[in-house]
Amino acid sequence: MLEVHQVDVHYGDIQALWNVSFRVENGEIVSLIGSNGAGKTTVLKTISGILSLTKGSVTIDGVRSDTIKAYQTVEQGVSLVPEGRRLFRDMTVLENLELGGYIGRARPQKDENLAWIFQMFPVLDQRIRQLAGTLSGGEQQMLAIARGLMSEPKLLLIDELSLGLAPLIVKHIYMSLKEINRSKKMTILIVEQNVRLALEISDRGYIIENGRITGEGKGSELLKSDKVKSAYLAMG
Amino acid sequence: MKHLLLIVGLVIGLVLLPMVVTKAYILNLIILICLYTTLSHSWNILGGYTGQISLGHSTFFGIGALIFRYLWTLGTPSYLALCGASISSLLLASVIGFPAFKLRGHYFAIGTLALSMIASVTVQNILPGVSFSPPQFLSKYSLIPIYYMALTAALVTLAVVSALTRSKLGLAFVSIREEEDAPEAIGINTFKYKVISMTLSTLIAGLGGGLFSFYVASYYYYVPFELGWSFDPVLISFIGGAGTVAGPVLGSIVFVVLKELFAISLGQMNVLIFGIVFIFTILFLPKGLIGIIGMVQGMKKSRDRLAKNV
Amino acid sequence: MLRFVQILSYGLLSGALYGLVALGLSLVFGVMNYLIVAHGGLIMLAAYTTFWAFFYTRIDPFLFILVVTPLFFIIGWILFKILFQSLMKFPEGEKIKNSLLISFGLLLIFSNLAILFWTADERAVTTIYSGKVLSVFGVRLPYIGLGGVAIAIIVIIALHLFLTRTYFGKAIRAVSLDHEAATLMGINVNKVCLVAFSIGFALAGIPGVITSLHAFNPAISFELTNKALVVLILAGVGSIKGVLIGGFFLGAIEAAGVYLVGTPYREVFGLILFILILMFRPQGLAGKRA
Repeated sequence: MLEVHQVDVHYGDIQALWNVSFRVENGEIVSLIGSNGAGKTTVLKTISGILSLTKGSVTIDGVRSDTIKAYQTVEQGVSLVPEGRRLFRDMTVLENLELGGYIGRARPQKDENLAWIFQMFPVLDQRIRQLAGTLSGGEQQMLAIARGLMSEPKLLLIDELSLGLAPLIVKHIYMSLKEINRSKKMTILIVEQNVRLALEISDRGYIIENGRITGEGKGSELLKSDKVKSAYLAMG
Repeated sequence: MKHLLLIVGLVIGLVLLPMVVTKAYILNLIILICLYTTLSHSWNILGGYTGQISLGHSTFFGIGALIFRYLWTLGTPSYLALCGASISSLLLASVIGFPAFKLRGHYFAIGTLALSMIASVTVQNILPGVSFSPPQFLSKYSLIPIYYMALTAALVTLAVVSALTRSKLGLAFVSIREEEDAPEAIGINTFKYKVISMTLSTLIAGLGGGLFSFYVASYYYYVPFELGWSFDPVLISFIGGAGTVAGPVLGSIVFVVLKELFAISLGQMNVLIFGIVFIFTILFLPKGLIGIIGMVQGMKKSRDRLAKNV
Repeated sequence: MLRFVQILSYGLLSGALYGLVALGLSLVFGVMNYLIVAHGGLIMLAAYTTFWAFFYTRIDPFLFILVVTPLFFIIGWILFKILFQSLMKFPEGEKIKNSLLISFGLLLIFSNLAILFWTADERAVTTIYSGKVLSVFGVRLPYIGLGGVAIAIIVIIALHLFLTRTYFGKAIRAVSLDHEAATLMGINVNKVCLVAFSIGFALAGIPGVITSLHAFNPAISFELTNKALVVLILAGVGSIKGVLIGGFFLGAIEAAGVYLVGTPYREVFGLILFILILMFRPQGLAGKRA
């Protein structure tokens, strides 16, 4: 349902992505793995419209998303959970979630969505009136993901969720993602440096190096591949 | 080389002018242009080159005028009083201005704005009266010595700014303007250079103030502290081209000439017109007249290049 | 002792007005980092509008607030579209610098327009309740001042409810915290800035009406801009309650100044406080950001 086709992206005169192409099918969990600076965040930002591409196209369910403004892609069904979470720290957990469900079509379902999100992440319900900035790292990541889910997206993009979090918490969050994918049939594209956990729940994965896609395969295959093992699992 | 000859010729012409032209009107115009060039460049050094937008330069201008009047009335020869005016401006800056550099961008601007308001209100309350030239000068008031002082002030200012553009100092200033924090990273002490920039800026502002006081026989004490003196140098620098040597000069010429024309036909409206031109310049021509000239030259060059290829 | 309480009361009544004066400025600055120093000029124009409306129609200024508010909202909308929207194409630092300069230019244009059209003479709207006071334990409280406090409280409560109970209000707060994150929520940041800017202008209309009930002239543009900036710095950015408290604080400081030194230096006290706070605590007494 997501088709990224021969995309080039530039930061001013500097090229960051070269001819990037990949697809994500409905209901899949796909990982985009690579080391620091490989271009993973650039890819996600381009899909969500924050960055403009200089060549190629991004299509969601057959509709071009690179030709519309960034805020309009949310309406289209794309939701990005950004690197570093970017929560509204001076606003409460509830307000952050409400803002996640800002777009028109999501507002009527607010209470419903809050209910299942609290089932998934009960700690958010406990801290509902706390300021987002006072939550622990893991709780903040959960809130960021929950906020991303409030817009009822077709495609959830998650950028580097494991950064700065304890392994147990990361594992818990990944398990939750698997559950969300299963119960809501949500399509998820994950970008990660922590390769093992991401690939373990992924149906498929792509490797990105220096702005180019250099490998793809089923999640389980990639976990076993020598290339991934030597380059990434030693760090993962 | 051609440029230099042109400039030297112009300067000689200006120096000899009063011997040929006696119409007070022309002399007044040139004096005003020199005054505004001096004041605008004082702002330009801090704002145009170093990127620290001051909205309160009237304070330093005003102090210069005040101290000049004071010294002159006591009998100090005019050029010495001028130096005194300049230095007093710097003293004020060192007390108030330098600490203000802890403030970034916005805050510096409004800090200087507040400063100029404090100065204006204080002067209005402490010195509500009129400041008169020393009587002996009033009686033999002549434009000629004023003309030469104005010329001197403007030439000194231009020499300083010119030297700045060719020096490492100027480079440091511009690097601060372009990116406030980056220069720190490569070892440039931003604070020190901001201080130097403000030093030069206020010295020249004080110079301008002194010139004003020498020129205008009598005025209310608060007049040189008025907000207009904060706004005009900003206006002129931007219209002419901030961060350049010729910009404020061009801007001053345009400003003074237009003001003359408007005064006859439109009276009060001229501030309105200038305000609109200013806003227009910021939005569409941020490089000012110098920028336009540069663009035209660039276009001509590329057309020539094309012609050669054909 | 009574004299002190009297002066303090006047100070606090003024303080409510100062809070109102700073509200629009604070909102716009918080949302998009534009420091509209022309705010005082806007308030002055609103005062003149009220004055002439009263002159021709005898409509009570406090009622006229209902007209001025939407009127200035529209003016803000238009000015944003013609002037400030084109700034969006500049990089962040330039954008802030240029918005400051343009506002500075507007301030001078407004005050000169006023002098041109209406001369520098002092005006004031005189109604049947002008000059009437409520006497409480010997302290005289002018009705107009009390009206100002009432309006200030109403406006601040209304604004607070808007910002915390409506989706758009929350969007405004989100944008003032993080433009990019707000975009990721599907919020049209440009539109939010446009509306916030217009609200800022509308918020200039209200204190303008109240100002018209005291003596005023075009020079008040600068005084009011001053007050707004001082309160903004006192309160810190991003705090609505802080603005009202900041206003009262300024009013109190000025009262102290008047009591100790005398009326002509009233302005100076506030401004010196301003510079001190700028230098030692730029994030304000209540706010969080510098």
